[in-house]
Amino acid sequence: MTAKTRQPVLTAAGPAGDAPGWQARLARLYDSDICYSFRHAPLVVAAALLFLLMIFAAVFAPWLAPTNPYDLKTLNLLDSLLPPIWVEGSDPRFLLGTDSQGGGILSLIMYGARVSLTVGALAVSVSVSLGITLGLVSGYIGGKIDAVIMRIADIQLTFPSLLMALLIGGITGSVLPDRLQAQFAIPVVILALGVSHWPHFARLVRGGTIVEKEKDYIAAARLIGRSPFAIMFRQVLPNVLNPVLVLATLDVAFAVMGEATLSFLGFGVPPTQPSLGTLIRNGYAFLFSGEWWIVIFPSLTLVILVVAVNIIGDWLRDALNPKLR
Amino acid sequence: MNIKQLIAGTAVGCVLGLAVAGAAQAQTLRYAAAAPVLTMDPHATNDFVSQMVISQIYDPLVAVNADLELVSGLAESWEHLGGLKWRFTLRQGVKFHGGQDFSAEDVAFSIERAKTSRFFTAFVGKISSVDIIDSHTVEITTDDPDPLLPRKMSNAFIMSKSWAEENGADEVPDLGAEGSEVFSVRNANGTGLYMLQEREPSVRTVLARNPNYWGEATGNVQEAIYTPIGSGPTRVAALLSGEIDLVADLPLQDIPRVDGADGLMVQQRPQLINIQLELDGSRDVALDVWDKDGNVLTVNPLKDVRVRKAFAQAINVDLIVDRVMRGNAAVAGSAAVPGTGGYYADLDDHWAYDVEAAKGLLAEAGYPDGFQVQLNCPLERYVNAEDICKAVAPMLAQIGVDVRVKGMVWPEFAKLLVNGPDSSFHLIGAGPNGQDTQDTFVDTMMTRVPDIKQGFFNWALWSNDEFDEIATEIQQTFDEARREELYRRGLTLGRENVHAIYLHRQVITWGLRDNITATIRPDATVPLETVVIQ
Repeated sequence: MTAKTRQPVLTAAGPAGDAPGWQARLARLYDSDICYSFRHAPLVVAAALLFLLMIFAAVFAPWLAPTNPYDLKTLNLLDSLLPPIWVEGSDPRFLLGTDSQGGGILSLIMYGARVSLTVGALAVSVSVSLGITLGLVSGYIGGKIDAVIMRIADIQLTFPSLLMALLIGGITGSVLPDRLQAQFAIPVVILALGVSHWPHFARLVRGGTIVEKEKDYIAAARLIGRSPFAIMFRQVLPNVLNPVLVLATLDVAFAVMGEATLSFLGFGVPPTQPSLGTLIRNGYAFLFSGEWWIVIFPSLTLVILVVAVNIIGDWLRDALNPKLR
Repeated sequence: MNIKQLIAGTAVGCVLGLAVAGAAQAQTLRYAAAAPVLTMDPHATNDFVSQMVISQIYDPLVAVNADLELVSGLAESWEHLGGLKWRFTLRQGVKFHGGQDFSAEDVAFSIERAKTSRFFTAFVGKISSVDIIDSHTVEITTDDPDPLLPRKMSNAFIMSKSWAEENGADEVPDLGAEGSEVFSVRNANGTGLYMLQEREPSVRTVLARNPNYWGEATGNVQEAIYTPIGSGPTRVAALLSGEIDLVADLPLQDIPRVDGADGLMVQQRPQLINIQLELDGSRDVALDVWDKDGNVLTVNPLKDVRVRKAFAQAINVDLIVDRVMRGNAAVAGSAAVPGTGGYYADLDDHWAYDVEAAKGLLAEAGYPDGFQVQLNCPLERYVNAEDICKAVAPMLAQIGVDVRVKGMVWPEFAKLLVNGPDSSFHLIGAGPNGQDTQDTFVDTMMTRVPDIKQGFFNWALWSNDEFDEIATEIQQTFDEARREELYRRGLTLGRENVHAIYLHRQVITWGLRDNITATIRPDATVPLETVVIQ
C-alpha cells in the first residue's frame, strides 16, 4: 500500500560522515514530517497527553494513589459508599468517592488501569509478533505454506474476535486445574486476546511482503547470499512496518476493551483482581441504586482511554500515508 | 405459544376494551430470581429455588402453611402409635396430573426413592420401613423414636409409582452428573395445584393451574412463569419495565428505587437462615493456613477455642448489618433461628465486639503476630455474600490475621464441601430444614459421620462430645420440658465453644407489582396458592 512510493530503507545507514550529535538528531526529529503534523494537530496532542497521563498514573499507582484499596488492613467499612467530593456527605480523603467496601474509586481506577494497560500492551505484542512472523513467512515463501496460513487466518476471521477470545479462554480454563486458574487468569486473557487478533496483522504484512519481494533490492540481497529469514526480517520487515504500527496502536484500544468485556462477562481477570473491566462489573450492581460514581468513573476512564488511543491511531495512519499529505 | 396467546389476548383486549384484556392477562404471574431451577425431580436436590417450583407441582404428605405450621397434605391425619411407629391416613380421590390414582403404594415408593438421595437423608434417612396397611393407610417405622417425623414428611414429595416406572425414572438422577438425563428431570407428574406446562432449563419454567386439584386455594393465579435472571440490575430493570411481576430476591441497594416506583412495592420477611463463618473444628492440620511469611502452618490454629473467640470478637457484625446489608438483616448470636422450634431469645446474644480482647485471646493461644488463612466464599446464593467476606477480611487484619478471600461460584463452592469437605474457613448459610432446631443439631452441629446419617452439613468438622450426647438424646425425647432443657444446653455449648461465628440473619426481600397480594414464606419460596392478582 504505502510502501510503493517510499524509498526502500536500507539497514545500517551509510558509514560515511560522522554520526550527528543528539541535539542534531533531536532537531532533525523535530523538523520531521511526522512531528510537524503532530504539532499541528491539537486534538492529537491533547489525546497523547491524556494517554501519557493515564500510563503515568497507572505505572506509578503504588506511589501516587491516595490509598491502596488492595491492602485490606487500610480498608474500613465505615468509609463505604461515600460520594465524590463535590457531593454532600463526602470525605476529602476520597476524591471520586468509595465503593461498597470502602476502597477509594480513584485509587481503584489507578490500580485497575495498571492491569488493563498491561493486558492491552502484552496482548497486542502477542498479536503483532504472531502476525508479523506468519505474515512474512506467508508472503515471502508463498506456495502451500502461504495457502495454509492464509486459510487458517480466513477461518479465524469468520469468527468475531471476542468470541474467539472467549473460546480460547474457555478451553484454557477447562484444561487448567482449578487451583491454578486464578494464578493464570491474566496470562490466559493476554493469550486469548493476542491470538484472537493475529490474522489482521498477518494479512497486512503478507500484502506488503508480496509487493516488496519483487523489488530489486531484495533480488540484490538474495544475490549476495543472505538467508531467507535474514531478508524477511532485515530487508522486508522495515519496509512494511508502517501500517503495522498504525494497526497496533488501534489494537491497543481493542485489547483494553476486550479485557474489559471479558472481565465484565466474568471470563477475564478474576473479580478479586483490579482491572477496569472488573471495576465496571462490580459497579454495575449499583446502576439503579443512586451510587452512580462506582460505575461511572471506571467506565469514563475506559471511554477516554479508548478514544484517546483511537485518535492517536487515526492520526498516525494519516501521517504515515504519503498519499494523504 | 403462550407468549403468542398472551400477545394476541392483549391485542384483542386493546381493541375490545379493557375488560377483555384484564381477563386474558390478570392471572398470569411472571416471577424471577437469580438462580435457575436445577431439575424437576423432587428428590434430586434440596436447593431452595428448585424446591420452590417443585413444591408447587408435587405435594408432600404433610403440608406447611404460611406460618410454617403443619397442616394436612396428602395425608389427612397422622398419629404416633408409640415407640418407632407413626400412622398416616391418606386422602381419598386424589389424582396425579397424568390421571393416575393416588394410593399408599405411591407413598411407599416415593419415600424409598427419596431415601436413595443424599440430600434427603435428614428427612427420610432414618426411616427403616414404610408398610402399606390398606390402599389409603401407611405405617412408617423409624430406626429410633422420632418426635419430629411429621415435620420431616413435609419435605418428602410424592411421585406416582406407575408413572415413574413406565418412564424409567425409578432411580433418583444424580444432579449435574453426566448421562443422568432421566425422564423426571424435564418432566413432572405430581398432585399439586400446578402442572408443569413447559420447561426450558435455565431459561424458563411455565406452570399451569391444575383444574382437578384436591384441595382449596385462595390464590387466583392461572399460569405462572418462572424466569431466572442472574444479574441483579437486569432483574430490577425487568421489574421496572413490567416484564416481570415479582422479583423474589431484590438486591438490597435497589430497595428504595423499587419502593419509590409507581405501581411497585417491596415486601420483607426474615429468612430462616443463619449466615455464619465456620472454622475448622477438628483437623490436626488446617487447610490453607500460613504463617505471616507465607509458609504453610502444620497445625490447626482454628481448632483452638481462644482463636475462634478472638475471630468472633474481632468482627463488627453491627457494621456489616448496617453497611453491607443496609440494615436488612438481624444480628445473630445463636445457632437457633427465630420462628423455629427450639429458639430462645435470651440465648441469642452475639459476642461483644472487642478488638483488644481478641488480640489478647490470640496472643494467649500462641499467635501474638497472627497468621494467614484462606476464606472460601460463595459469590452468590446468599445476600451480598462476597461483600460480607470482603468486609470480614479488614476486620480480622486488625488483630493480625491476614485473610485471603477466595470467591467461588456456587457449584464450585458446593463441590468443595460435598466432595470433601475441603475447607477450613468458609462463609455459609445454615438453617433447620424441617423448621426445628433439632435439625440444626443433628445435621450441622453433631460430629460428622455421614455413614450413620449425622452431621452431613457439618462442613467445618466441629466436634464436641458433650454436644453429641445432647443431640442424640433430643432426637428421642418427646417430653417438652426435657426438650427445652436440651435445646438450651446445646445452644449454650455451641456458643461457648464457638461452633461457628454466627453473623446475621438475612431478610427475604420481594419487589412486586402493587396489584399482587402475596405472603412471603420464611423458607424463601413463593407460595403461588396464596397469590392473588387484582
